[in-house]
Amino acid sequence: MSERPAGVFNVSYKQDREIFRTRFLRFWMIVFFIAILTGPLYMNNYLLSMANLTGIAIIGAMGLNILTGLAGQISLGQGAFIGVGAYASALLTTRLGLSFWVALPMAGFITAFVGMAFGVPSLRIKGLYLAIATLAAQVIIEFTIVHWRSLTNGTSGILVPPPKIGSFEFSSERSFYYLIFVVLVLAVTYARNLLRTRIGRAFIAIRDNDIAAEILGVNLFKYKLLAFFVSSFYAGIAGSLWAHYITIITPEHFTITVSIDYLAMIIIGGLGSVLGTIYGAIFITLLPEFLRVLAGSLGSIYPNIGDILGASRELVFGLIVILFLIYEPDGLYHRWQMIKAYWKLWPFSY
Amino acid sequence: MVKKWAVLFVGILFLFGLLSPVGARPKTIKVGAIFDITGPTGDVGWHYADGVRDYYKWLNANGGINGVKIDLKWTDYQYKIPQAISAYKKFVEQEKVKAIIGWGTGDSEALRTKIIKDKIPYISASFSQNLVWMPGNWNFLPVTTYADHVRTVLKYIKDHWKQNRPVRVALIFNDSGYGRAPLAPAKRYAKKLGIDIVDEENVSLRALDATSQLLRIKQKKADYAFIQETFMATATILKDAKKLGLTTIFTGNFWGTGQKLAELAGPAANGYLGVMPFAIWSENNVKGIQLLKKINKQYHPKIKYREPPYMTGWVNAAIMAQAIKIALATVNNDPSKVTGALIKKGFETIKDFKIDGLVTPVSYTKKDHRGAKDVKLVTIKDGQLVPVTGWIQTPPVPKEEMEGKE
Repeated sequence: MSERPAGVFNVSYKQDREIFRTRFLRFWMIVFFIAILTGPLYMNNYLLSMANLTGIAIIGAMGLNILTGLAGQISLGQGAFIGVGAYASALLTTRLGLSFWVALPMAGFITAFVGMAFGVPSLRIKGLYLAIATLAAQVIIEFTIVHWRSLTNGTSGILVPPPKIGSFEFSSERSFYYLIFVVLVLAVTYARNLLRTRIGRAFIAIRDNDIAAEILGVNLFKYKLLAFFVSSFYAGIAGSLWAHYITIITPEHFTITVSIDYLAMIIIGGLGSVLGTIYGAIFITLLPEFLRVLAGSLGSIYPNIGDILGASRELVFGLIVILFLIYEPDGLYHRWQMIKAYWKLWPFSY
Repeated sequence: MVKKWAVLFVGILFLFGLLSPVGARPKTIKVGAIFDITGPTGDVGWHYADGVRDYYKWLNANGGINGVKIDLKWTDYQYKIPQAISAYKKFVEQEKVKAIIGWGTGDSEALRTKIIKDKIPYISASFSQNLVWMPGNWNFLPVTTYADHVRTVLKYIKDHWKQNRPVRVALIFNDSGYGRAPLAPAKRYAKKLGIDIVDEENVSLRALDATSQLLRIKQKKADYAFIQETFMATATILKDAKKLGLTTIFTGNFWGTGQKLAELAGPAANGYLGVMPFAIWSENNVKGIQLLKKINKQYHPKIKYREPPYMTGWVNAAIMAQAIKIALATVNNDPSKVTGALIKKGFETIKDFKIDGLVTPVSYTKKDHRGAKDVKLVTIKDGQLVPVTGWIQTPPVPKEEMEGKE
């Protein structure tokens, strides 16, 4: 990158591909890490719960970003896949009596296979057509959850126990924060590294031009299915965490709006970027909270503004997505890069 | 450039000024409220929200509860469960509310384990039997459950059936917690009464067409159909039924019954029979309605008509205030000593609480968290909602339902 600090040179390929390249960056990453680890010390339960919701959203969005941002397969079914993970985990723990620690990865795999099944059409269809095919996944999965009552308890939902180690229950916000944090670190690390591997490059090749990729020797079917597999695995993990965090799940948690929210996260954050996913997930999860706080505080001055701002929340959401598509198609991640470049290059903008 | 920064700076200051918490006022009790004003159920949700807000405004203006005022913290969650959960967390953790007034079935059910853990009594506008008949329950309903309502209608149908053969009834519902709530109880009760449930049809809450479902109902020759929807789907069903020339008499749940239905369905709505647990806006002889009309003239001069959910909001707020009043009495009117557990106890000792005739007297016991036990049947006549019956007591709840089985 052009904005690499002066004096830092790559002398080996290994160095060229390092994630944390400078000592400065490493230092700040450690500080950041410690700040997050000690978060619960200075955050109240409400902020912790926001952090937890965001953490789960990041994991779910990361999966979608691998599928859509990296491999170029548009999916409108992420919400339903998260639902599959949630229900799989809930059923494994309540019906089969498995421990959460077994159910979590198993929910990931079950969702991955379900996702892969819906990924099969991706060989023949792409773009908008695939989006509609994944929309079908959303509808079919929602329908199944509602109607397979003997398994899912239909619209009454399932009560899910919190995770346990020995006699310790992960039922408080704080304990769940650490649980999500560990999973999140694994998820982000894996995603970040995936980008640098053969698989990640194959994904990118497919996204950029699948015919060219095939000519280069990329097995399209295999890699497209793999993208669905990885993406749904993430969704399954996010779903499992959601189920055990909320402790009750109903089909209403996994509707099409959830899928759209996830799509918005990766568009606003930045397609194909790990950091972008994180920014996007934070942005979309906290936007309604922010607007709520704004409405609440303005409400004490202008009594009716609460209703108006509340009503405009969807409007603001839509407006933000449109504005991002027009002015910042590469998302928040790109804007952040621009800001960094600005400071590094200043006062010479070239 | 300087100007730009200055504007930004002032803007930030302004924002922080606004965001800083308002100093705690003495002698108040905080109550949280989760409304849907602008979401998919906003068409009825805003009446409900106004009902709750108007009650506390009116109560506080009239001296509160023995001088203690209710500080209502409300939020518009737009019918999204994650937003309801984060709003709930905010209320409980930051605002330290003692009790919550909620709205939908999905979110109330999602919160039903959390409220037990946090000791937050919760009264909502969802009359789902899943909320009341569960162990260690902290949910309260202002009236009876959806299951009770469908039973009342079935009983009414049976009592008014003159012909020699069993009456044929169809059920119309949607795939949500709310939509499916009365299905099992209806089927069970119909069997007991000797009513034939001939058809079950799924019509989505936002359906614009129900022709195929109605054709099946026509084919099965249903004499009556019970609709568990809201205004929009109910109106669609009534209009399509008229178009197809069905002779079936349509009955429906509380949330599909109101003036809005007459507006949406036009003449097709005539003769529709709805369950109504509350007094309706046209009942001028009811004291509560007179009061609400006076208050609306004062607070909302432009509003001439209120849908039934407004009364739901008012009644919920009033019941909550009554429970708080009882809780306050046990701690010498010291609001700082009132806890969620005390309010729950307050709820459970409410007996024959009259809300100016808006509902029949409300009573709770430790076991039964349903409030008023009576409902009315109303109909639509020339675009107006008019009562058909007086208050009817809902049939008793069967044992299996009390045990939380469907």
